[in-house]
Amino acid sequence: MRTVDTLIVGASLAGAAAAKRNVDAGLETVILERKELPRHKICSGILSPRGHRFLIENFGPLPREALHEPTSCRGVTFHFPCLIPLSMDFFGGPTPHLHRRYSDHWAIKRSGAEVHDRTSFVGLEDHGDHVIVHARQSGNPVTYKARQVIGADGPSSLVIRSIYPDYPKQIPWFFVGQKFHDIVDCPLDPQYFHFWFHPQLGHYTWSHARDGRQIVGVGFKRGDNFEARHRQVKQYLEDKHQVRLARHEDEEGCAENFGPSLVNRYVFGKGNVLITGQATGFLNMIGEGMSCALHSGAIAGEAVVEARLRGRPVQEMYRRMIASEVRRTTDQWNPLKIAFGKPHEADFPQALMKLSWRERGLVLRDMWNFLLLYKEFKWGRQIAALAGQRLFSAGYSAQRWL
Amino acid sequence: MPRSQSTSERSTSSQQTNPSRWQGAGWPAFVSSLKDVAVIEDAPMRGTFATDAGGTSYGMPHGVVIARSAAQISALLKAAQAHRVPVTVRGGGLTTEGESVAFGGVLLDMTGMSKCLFIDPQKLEVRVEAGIFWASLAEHLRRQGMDYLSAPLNLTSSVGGTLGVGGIDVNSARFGCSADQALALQVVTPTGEIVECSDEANPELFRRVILGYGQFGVITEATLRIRRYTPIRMRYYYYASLRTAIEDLQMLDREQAADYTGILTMMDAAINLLVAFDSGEREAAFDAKWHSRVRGMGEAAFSARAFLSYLVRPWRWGEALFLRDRKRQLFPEFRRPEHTRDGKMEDRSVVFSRAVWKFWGGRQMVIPDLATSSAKFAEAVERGNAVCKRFFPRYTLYCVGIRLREEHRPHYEMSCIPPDAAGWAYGCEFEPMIGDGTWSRDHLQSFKNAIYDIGVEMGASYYRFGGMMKGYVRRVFGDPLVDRHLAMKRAADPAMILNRDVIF
Amino acid sequence: MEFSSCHGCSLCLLSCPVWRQTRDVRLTPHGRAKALQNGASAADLQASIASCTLCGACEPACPEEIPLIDMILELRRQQPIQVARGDVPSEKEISVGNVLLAGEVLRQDPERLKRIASLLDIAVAADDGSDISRAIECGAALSSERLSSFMGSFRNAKRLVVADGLLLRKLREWLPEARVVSLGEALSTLEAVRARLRATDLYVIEPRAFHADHARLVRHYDALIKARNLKTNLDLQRLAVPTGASSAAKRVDPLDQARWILDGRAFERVVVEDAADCAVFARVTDRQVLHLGDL
Repeated sequence: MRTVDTLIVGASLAGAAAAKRNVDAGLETVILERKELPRHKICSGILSPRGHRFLIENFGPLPREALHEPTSCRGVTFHFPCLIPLSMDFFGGPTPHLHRRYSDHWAIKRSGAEVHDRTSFVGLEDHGDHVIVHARQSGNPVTYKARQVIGADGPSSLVIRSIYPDYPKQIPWFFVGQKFHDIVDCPLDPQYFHFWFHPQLGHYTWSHARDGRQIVGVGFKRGDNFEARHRQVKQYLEDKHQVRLARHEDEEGCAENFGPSLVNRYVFGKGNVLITGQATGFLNMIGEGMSCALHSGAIAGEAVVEARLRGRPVQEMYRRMIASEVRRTTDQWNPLKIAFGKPHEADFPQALMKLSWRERGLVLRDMWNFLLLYKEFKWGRQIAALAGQRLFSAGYSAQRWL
Repeated sequence: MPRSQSTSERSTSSQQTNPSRWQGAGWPAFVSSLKDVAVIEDAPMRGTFATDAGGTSYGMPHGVVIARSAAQISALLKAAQAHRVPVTVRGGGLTTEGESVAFGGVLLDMTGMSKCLFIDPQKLEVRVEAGIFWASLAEHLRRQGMDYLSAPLNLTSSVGGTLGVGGIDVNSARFGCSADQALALQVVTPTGEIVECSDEANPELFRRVILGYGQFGVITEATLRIRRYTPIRMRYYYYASLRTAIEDLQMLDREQAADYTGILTMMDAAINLLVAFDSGEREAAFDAKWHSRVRGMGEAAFSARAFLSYLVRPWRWGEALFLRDRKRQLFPEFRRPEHTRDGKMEDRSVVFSRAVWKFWGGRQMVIPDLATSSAKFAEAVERGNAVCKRFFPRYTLYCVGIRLREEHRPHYEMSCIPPDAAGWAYGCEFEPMIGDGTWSRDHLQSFKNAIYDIGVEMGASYYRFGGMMKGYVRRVFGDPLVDRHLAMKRAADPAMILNRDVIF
Repeated sequence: MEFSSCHGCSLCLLSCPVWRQTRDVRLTPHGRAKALQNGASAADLQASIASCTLCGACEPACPEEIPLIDMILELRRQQPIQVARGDVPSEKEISVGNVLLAGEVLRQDPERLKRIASLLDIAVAADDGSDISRAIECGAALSSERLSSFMGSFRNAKRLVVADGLLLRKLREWLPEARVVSLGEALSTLEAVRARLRATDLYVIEPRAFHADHARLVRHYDALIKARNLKTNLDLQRLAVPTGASSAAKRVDPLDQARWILDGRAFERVVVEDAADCAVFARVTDRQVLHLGDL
C-alpha cells in the first residue's frame, strides 16, 4: 500500500493546479488518471482570460503543441433568432485555444507531482485521520493511504459518488456533443466562439473553428437524440448563416452537470475528501469550466496545506477559501450583477448599447424566450432569492453547499 | 497571438509568478560535496521556512543552511554553481510576495549572521552582519545614544533584506529610502567571491547590490550611517480627503517643515497626517510657520465632523462603529506611558512596529504598493483606493515621501524608485485588513494585479519586486533595460542559482 | 497548545536569550511552533525544548498572544530535561497572614533572608515549594499529594510573596483568590527600599515574574524608573533581559547575558531582584552588586 500526503483523482487542469500547491509546499502528492497520458478530452478548448492568466502565472508560457489552430480566440459572438449578431472581445486580449490532450499533460508535468496513469478510482474509506483509496491499475487492484483526497474527476465524478451515492439523482443532467466537419464555406469569423440563444436549437448551441475544421456542438437535457439535434443545428447554420459543411468525420459527447453554479448548489466534499474543478458544479456563463477548474483546484490544494499548518479541519479551510470563487462564478448568473456589475470577462452591456433601441429590444426578447427553455428546472425563484441576498452580504450562503 | 512571437514568449516566460519547484536533480551529490557547511534536511525544520510573512506562497526547500560566515556562504555558492542548485536567501522573511520562499533547493537563513560588529560614534558609522534585525541593531546603538537613519516600521526586517529592496520609514522624506544609508558592504557574489564594495571600492557591484533584489550577491556585512538618538514630538492632523492630505504632505516635505511625515488611513474615511519633530526648536518653527497652512483638523473637530456625517448615513454605521473601535484600541497603543517621557515618544520604531503587527498583522498579508513621482502620486493613491474598496471592506493606506539622492541615481536603475521622479518619490502601500479572515490566494492575487496594473498604466514603480509580481518588471521598465540587467545577471551568476524567480 | 496560531513574525526572537547566544531559529519559540505545525514531535525538538530558560520575554512580545510558556512546559512534560531533584520539606507548618516563599538561593543566605523578612514584615514559609518549581521547570511528574500538602500549608495566608518567578506564575493559576506578588515587586513597592535607589544604579528586574504579568508590571517599573531615574535591564520593547542564572537549562551562558546587560550602560551599583544574579554580576563587574533587600 502506497502512503502519500495527498492523493488527487483526475489528471486534468484542476488536478494540476491542486497538485502544484501541494508539491510546492513539500507534500508528497500522487495523481491518479484512469486513461493513459496524454489523454483525449472533450472540450471546446476556449479558455477564459482569467484562466489564461492563471496558467501563465503558475505553469509558465504554453508550448505550441498545447494549442489548436487558430491558436487564440478574440471573444464570443452571440446569435439570436432575430439574426442580430452581438460580438464581444475578451477583456485583456485574445485567449488560447487549448488542445486539451497536450495542455493538460503539460500542466500535470509542470506541477511536479507523481502521476499514476491507467489507474481508475474504485472507492474510498475515510478513517478520520487518513483515507484509504482503492483503485485498479491496468486491471489490478491497488490501494493508497492518503491524509487527504482531492476529487478532480469531472462532472461524472466517481469520488463524489463514493461519498454521496445519491448525488447524481439530485441534479439535472445534460448531454453536450460536438461533431467535426470539413468546411466547404463558413462565413462565421474563426476568431470568435459562436453561441446561439435559440430555444428551438437546444439548451447550449455553439460553433467554432479548429484545425481547419468547423465544430458544431449541441447541448440538451439528457435523453434527447444527439443525431437529430445536431442535424437540425447544421441545417439552421446553412439556412440562416450560409455555413456549408461537409458531412462530419468525428464526433464526441459527454454528460454535463449544468446548473449548480446558477443556484449556488456546489458540492465540495466531506471529511478528508475535497471535490474540486467542474465536479463541484463550477461553470462560467459561456459554459467555460477550465478557469474555474484551475482556480478551485488551486484553492483545494491551498486548503490542504493551510489545514495542516493551522491544525484545522480541511473542509473548514476549503469552504472558507472557496467563497471567493463561488462569489465570482455565481455572480455571473446573478441578474443584478449582470445589469449593474461587470461579472463577465467580456462586456455584454457595452455591446448591447452599441445597438439601436429596436435591436436591443429584439435581442432582449430573444434572450428571455431562450431562458424560458430552462423554466422546467425551477431555478428562476432561487436565482432571484440569491440575487436579493447578495445585495446585503459579501457572498453567497455556504449553507447550500454539499 | 497578436504580439510577435519573440516578445510574447519573453514576456510570458517572465510572468510565471509562482515558479515551478526545482525537482532536486543532483541534490545528494551537492550535499555531500559541502564538507564544512551543515545542511539541515529534516522536514519540520525545512517547513519552518516554507512561507513568508505574506503567508500566501508556499515553497519547501530541500535543505536549510544557517548562515555563519562569509567563507561558509562562499563555499555554499561555489558548490551551488557547480551543481546548479538554486539558493534562496532569507533575512527576516517579511516579504509578502514569496521572494524569500525557496521553491526547492537551499534556503539560506541569514539571521544566523546577525551580530553588531562595531559602532563608531565619532564617525557616525556602524558595521553589522547583514542578517541583523533592525530592532536588534537599535538595541546596540541605543546603548551608545545612537540610532539608525531609517528602517521599515517592522522590528524583524533584516538589514540585508532591506538594503536589497529599499525600505521606507516616516523619515524617508528626509533621509531617503533605508538602502541609501549603506556606506559599504561585504558581498559574497553568486560565484562565491567575497568582495568589499562601496562608492569607492567596486562601485559597480555596490550599485547592483543596493536595491538589487538579491540578484548580484549575498550581503554578509554592511557599514551604515548612523545618527544621535532623539525622542520625538508627535502631531496628528485629520482629513476627510486623500488629495488634500497628500498635498499637505508634499508641501511639508518640499519645505522640510518637519522631521517625520507620513499618512496613515482607515479606508478613505479617516486620513491621518502624522508629523513629528526631533527637537523643540523644530516644533516651534513649525508652529510659527507651517501649522496654519496645514488644512487637517484636530482629533476633536474631526470626530465631531465624522459623527455628524455618519449620523445622516445609517447605511454606513457599520463603518462608523469599526472606526470607533479601532480608535479605542489603537490610540492607547501609540501613547503607552512606558514609551512616553515628558510628552515625547521614545523608541518610535518599537511603538509603531508593535502596533503594526498587533493591528495589521496576520497569517496572510498582501501589501501591494505603488511608487510614483510627486506629480502623479495623488491620482495613483485615489485609483488604488478605488481598487481597495472593490476588494475589501476594511483596509489601510500608508503613504510617505522618499528623498532621492542624485548621486545614487545609478543605484536606482530598475528599482522601486520610479525613473521619472526628481527630488522626492512617493510611495503608497495598500493594505487590506485581513485579520483572522481567510481569503483564497486567488482573490488576493486579483487584488494585487489590479493595483499593479495601475502602476503599468501610470508609469509608476513599486517598492518591491518579488516573485509574484515578476510579471510586472518588463511591463514597467520595458525589455531593453530588463535585458541589459539580465545580461549582467547571467554574467555574474552563470548557473542562475541565486534568488532565481524573484525578478528574472 | 496554540502553536498553530504562529505565523512566523519572529518578534519572539528579539528578546530570546537563547536566540541571542545561538542565532539558531530552531531553538526559539518561533522555531518550535513552526516545526510543530510541520509535524514535529516533542522528541524531534529535544534540543530546543532543553535550551529554553523560561524567562518568558517571548510571551508579551507575541502579537498572537500564544501562551508560549505553557507551550514549552507542556513540551517539557512530554520530553523532560533532567530528573528533578530538591528536598521535600519534612516539617508541616500552616502559614497565616503574609508569607514569603524564599526559594533555594535565598534560603542559603539566612542573613539576607532575615533582613528581607523584616523589611516586608513577613513570615518565611518552611515549605517554599522549590522542589515543585524545579519539577515544573524540568517537566517531571508532580505528585498530587505533594502539591496538595504544599498548597494546604498556606491555605489561610493573606498574601504570598514569591521569589521564584516560575512558581509565582503557577501559583497565580492555582490560587486565583490569594494575593500573590513577586519578591521584586513587594520590595520595590516599599518606600524604605525605593528611597535608597539611586540614579546611578543599574536595576536588574527578575524576568520570569515580570513577564508573567507584563501588562501590569511594566507600569509599576516605569513609575519606579521615572521616580528614581533608574537604568534597568529592560530593552527597547520594555522586556527584561535575563541572565538565565536561575534556569535549570544550561544552554545560555549567564555571564555573557550579564555582560550584555551592562554593555554601554554607565552605573555605580548593580541592584538585582533575583538572588541568583548576585554571583553572576559579581563576576563581570568590579562595581558593587547588591540584592534589592540589601539596600
